[in-house]
Amino acid sequence: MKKTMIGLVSALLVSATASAQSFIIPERIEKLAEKARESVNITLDGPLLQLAGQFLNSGNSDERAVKELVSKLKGIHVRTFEFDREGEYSESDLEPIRAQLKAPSWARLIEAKEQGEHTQVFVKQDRNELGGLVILATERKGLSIVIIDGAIDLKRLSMLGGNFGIPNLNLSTPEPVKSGTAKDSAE
Amino acid sequence: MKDVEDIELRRALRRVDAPEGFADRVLARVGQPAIAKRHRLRNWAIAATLTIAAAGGAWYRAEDQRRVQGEEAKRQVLLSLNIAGSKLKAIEMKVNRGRER
Repeated sequence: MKKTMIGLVSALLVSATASAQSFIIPERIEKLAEKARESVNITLDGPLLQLAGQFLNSGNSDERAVKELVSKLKGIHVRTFEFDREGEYSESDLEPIRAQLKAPSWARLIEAKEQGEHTQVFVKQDRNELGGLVILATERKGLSIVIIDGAIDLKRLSMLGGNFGIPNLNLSTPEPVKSGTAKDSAE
Repeated sequence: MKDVEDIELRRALRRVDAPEGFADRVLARVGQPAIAKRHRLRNWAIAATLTIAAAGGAWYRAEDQRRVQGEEAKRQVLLSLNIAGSKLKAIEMKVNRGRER
């Protein structure tokens, strides 16, 4: 009985830890900053996002929209690297991230390959809404990883286009897609 | 006999000057409790002022740090949305180009 209880508590702890750890960015990716000409490293977890929300002005309609968008997010991780030379990283460096984007939670929404560029967009289906968005974009001399964990409203993000340097977008919440399939592909 | 008594009585009741500094000592003794009370009050006031100033300083520093962190978090949120938007725009254009071909 005691062993069963210990096992049950351990299982609960492991599952709680696993759910708390949203995304693990491999050390190999983090070390790319040393080789990069320019890099951006952003990690915002729940409390920091809440704090950011407090500093977004509700009186300003654009900032209010960002505030509402951010209020439903659990975390944001952004890594971008620009290199002087090609071949500073390989596609396989991204495999540990792709491995975390597995069905049934995650589905690849878009995949586009064009002249040495490869972009993938993954979405997390959380009931009938988007529970997360991951963008992996590789270029010959650049790499971008954007992980938005939490309910993200693409319509609202679209509406922010033209403000805060966000380009005008024509996005809408996608239909649920089967995991591992590309909805659109432009090769 | 009566004269003797009278003389002794007069001697006993003669006017005698107070010793030097007697008046000052009396006045000092009379004023001491009030001065001590004033000192205690002054010390309490200094302690309270210092405590309030220290607490106020700590609160201000914490609030200033929170403000700096909040502004930085806001900047990072906007930069993240900017990068996400740019990448989505790029992929939107690629997909549209793919459809046109």
